Amino acid sequence: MSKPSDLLQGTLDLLLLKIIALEPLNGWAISRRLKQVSGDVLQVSDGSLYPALHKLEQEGWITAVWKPSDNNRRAKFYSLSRRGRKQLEKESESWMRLSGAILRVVSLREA
Amino acid sequence: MLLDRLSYVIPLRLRSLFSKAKVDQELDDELRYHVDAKIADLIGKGITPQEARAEALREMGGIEQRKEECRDARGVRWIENIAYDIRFGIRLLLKTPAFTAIAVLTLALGIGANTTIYSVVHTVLLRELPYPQSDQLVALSETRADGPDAIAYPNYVDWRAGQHTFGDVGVYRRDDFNLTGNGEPERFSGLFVTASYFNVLGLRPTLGRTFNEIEDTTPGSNPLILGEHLWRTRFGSDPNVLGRKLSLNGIGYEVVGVAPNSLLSRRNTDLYAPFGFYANRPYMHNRSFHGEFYGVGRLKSGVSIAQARADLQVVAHNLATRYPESNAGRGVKLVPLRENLVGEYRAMLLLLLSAVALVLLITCANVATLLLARATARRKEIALRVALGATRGRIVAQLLTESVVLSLLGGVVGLLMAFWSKNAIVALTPRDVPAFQDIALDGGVLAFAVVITFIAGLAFGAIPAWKLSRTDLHSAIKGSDTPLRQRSHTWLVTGQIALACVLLTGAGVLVKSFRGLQKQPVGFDPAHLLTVGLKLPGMKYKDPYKREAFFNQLLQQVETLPGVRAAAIGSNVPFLGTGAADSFSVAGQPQPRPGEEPRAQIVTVSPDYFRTMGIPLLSGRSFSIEDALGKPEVVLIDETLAHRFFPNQNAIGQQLVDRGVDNPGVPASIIGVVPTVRDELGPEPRMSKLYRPEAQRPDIQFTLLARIDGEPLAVLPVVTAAIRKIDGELPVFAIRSMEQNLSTSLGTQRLSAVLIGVFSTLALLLAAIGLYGVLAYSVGQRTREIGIRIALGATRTNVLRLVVKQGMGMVAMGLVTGTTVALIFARVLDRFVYGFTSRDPATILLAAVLLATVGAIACWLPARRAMRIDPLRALRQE
Repeated sequence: MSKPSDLLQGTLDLLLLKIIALEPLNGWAISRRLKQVSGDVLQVSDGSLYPALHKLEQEGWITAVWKPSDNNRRAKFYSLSRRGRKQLEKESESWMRLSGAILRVVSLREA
Repeated sequence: MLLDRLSYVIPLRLRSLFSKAKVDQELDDELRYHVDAKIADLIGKGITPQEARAEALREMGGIEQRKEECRDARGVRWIENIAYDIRFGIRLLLKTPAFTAIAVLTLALGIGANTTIYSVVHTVLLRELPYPQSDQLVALSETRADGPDAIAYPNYVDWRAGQHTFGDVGVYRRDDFNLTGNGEPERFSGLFVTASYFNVLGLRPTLGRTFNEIEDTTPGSNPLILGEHLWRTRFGSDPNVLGRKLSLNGIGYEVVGVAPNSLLSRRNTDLYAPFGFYANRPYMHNRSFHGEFYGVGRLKSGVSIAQARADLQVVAHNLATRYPESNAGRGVKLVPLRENLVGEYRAMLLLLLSAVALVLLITCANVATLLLARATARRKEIALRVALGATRGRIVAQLLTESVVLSLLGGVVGLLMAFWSKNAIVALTPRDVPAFQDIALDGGVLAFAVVITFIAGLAFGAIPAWKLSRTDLHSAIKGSDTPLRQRSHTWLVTGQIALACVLLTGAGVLVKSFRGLQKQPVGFDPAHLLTVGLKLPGMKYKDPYKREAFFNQLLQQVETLPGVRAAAIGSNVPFLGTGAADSFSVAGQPQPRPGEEPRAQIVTVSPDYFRTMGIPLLSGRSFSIEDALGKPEVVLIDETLAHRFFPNQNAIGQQLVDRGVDNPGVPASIIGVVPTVRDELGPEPRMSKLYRPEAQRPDIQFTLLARIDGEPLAVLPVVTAAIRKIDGELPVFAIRSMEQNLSTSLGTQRLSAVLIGVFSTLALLLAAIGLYGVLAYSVGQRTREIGIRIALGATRTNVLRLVVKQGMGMVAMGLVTGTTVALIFARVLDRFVYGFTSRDPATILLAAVLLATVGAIACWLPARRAMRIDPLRALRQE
């Protein structure tokens, strides 16, 4: 398992937006889903998760409602807003470009 | 897109602000939900409940801290912080009432003084003139080789026709109007104006109408326009005032309108009469006659004054070519109207503003010292905050907020002070300038007060805030009370002393200059001299013999009154408003080129004038009854003219040709020489005069002078009665003693000297208090050390010397710095100083001695306390 401190803040935003884009979830579920879909590679620490979520909400990229969750307790569920979708696309694209470039460099054959 | 975001985010933020408790609860719920879910998950994986709980909490970290971070992410934190800081700051200030009171009072003095001075500057220099688009307005006059001159009417007509840069121009002439037939005769100040005058200024009539062009050139129709001020005070804002007939200067006028108030020249305008009054006068066609007509113009929009100047210069040049006799070497002078009205006060007002800014600096340094002293006591509190996670920026923000709160308190009290002192200030300002009378604390001034309050708060709060934010956690919490390094205190006090020194020197120079002006020799004896203004109505006294008769009767009557030692009349008397100068030429000397004729003021006097004024006769004789109408023309000249034109010969018997309009070309014999007198106090050289006997030139407007045994104004009732006996319709005005006239003329100098004197006293007090405070604090901090010294054998004198050395060291440094700065900037004061240079060693020395003395007293008090320290008690004090 990679340490959560390896994740840069910007990348965290991208991952959270994407997870939320798949399905509206509360914070706990988001953290679990991320771990799950990344095959345990990516984990976000509890301490970083909520400040990041609140910042995304502040920017208007995600919206929140309070709903009863599966254990019938009320929880705060986040979903992606229209602006958030645009932001997600933008950040995905830029990440693709960056990682593609890194991949190219790293794949160069050594002499 | 932005709107989109805002529509979501703003309610979010508002919600965070206003339903804080609810939002806080939600945050709490959200985080706890997560922790509980994690616990359940871990239990599901087989971990014991206690361990699961421990691990879950550990991973989340401190809930409160996470909540903080979430709140930070929301971005409304800073408003909450400021609100909290303000409340905390106020509580803190209330807990230490003595400190707060001193600090607030000090700040109030500084801010209040600045607001007051700024209100004067704002009103006089910055406020818009009360005309629409007043920056398009220009004052017009003529120029000749040696200076400005009034406009000749034919020139005005040609300028108006030939110019391209003005929307319109108009001319006016100030005059006095005697109102008769309405009870007591009264005198008003008014303007004869062309119809275009109202257009140019954009004055729309409050009632009725303004003049039309026909009335410019037709005598006999006599419409009158009242000034609004007069209409309100004298006519009770009567809406039916139109059509009323008034007899002014013996001529019947009919009121056709009321014009709004105007500040065109130095006095308020009571009424307006049409230019047609002058229509048939011969001098209206005379290009050489410059009889106090002045012009105003409104530039076309987009045209600069430089362009207008160039345009009018072309017109003037053409006129000079066409009429070389009268117009050679003459040009046009254009000055923005505001500049014309208040330009002369700009320098003085800026000086006052600079001085009062220095006072504010001293105030800030003073309060900073106070805050620094208090800072030691707060170190524990700050250290605790840092330990709890406050960043340095947060601490500084908190301390600055507290400073600004303190400053605002001081600002409010200061505003009250400024409000109360407004009337006192207005009483000091030049009384004849309407702009000064209107001083008000309006929006601009309030904005200024708020701005300097904030700046002051940040300024004096910066040093203590910076120092405190660097608190060393360990030593602070452990409680070792090593006092904050004293260096800042020293610099602050030294700075205050230096600034006080600069202000004291400046005040000393100005006061000395003012005193010098008051004592400036004027060439005549102003004591015990009564001056009374009189104006004969033109119609009634058209006949010069009638005027002559009036003067003789008047002088006869007045001379016999008890208490009157001598009486005379004169026109253009010094300090009573000087008229324009006329040109003349000397017979038998080379004629100067047109435009370069020598000029002198023509003063028409009765034979006893010189005796009454106390002007000695240097040679020849004064006028006598022989010099009457129809007899050979005679003239007296003053020393300056005598030296200039007759340096090596006796002036007596020579001939002068007066080229003034009334009797052009008639030669007059010089019969006497008198010393040159002064028309105004100050560095300007005295202006030459020619004296003519009033019997040969009986004037309409003149001053009655009487030398009195005792108090001049005491004889006023009998003098007025005597005048009334001769002509009951004559209003009597401008009644003052000559000494009053001299005093009034020094209005601006008095204002400067008094105000800067007050500021420097304030500065001295503040600096002294600052010094005392720092030394007292220092002695308090060093009590243990001093106790040890005494125990080890130091005498009281040694202790005294210790403290005094510290104090006087600061005083000395302050004096050196202050004196150096004063010397460097002394030149700035030169223009206000008469009779000596502003680098006056005597004044500088005096200021230094005063400061050192006060400083010594401020040192002595804490030193005395130090001397009395009981070593046993001091050592026990931990």
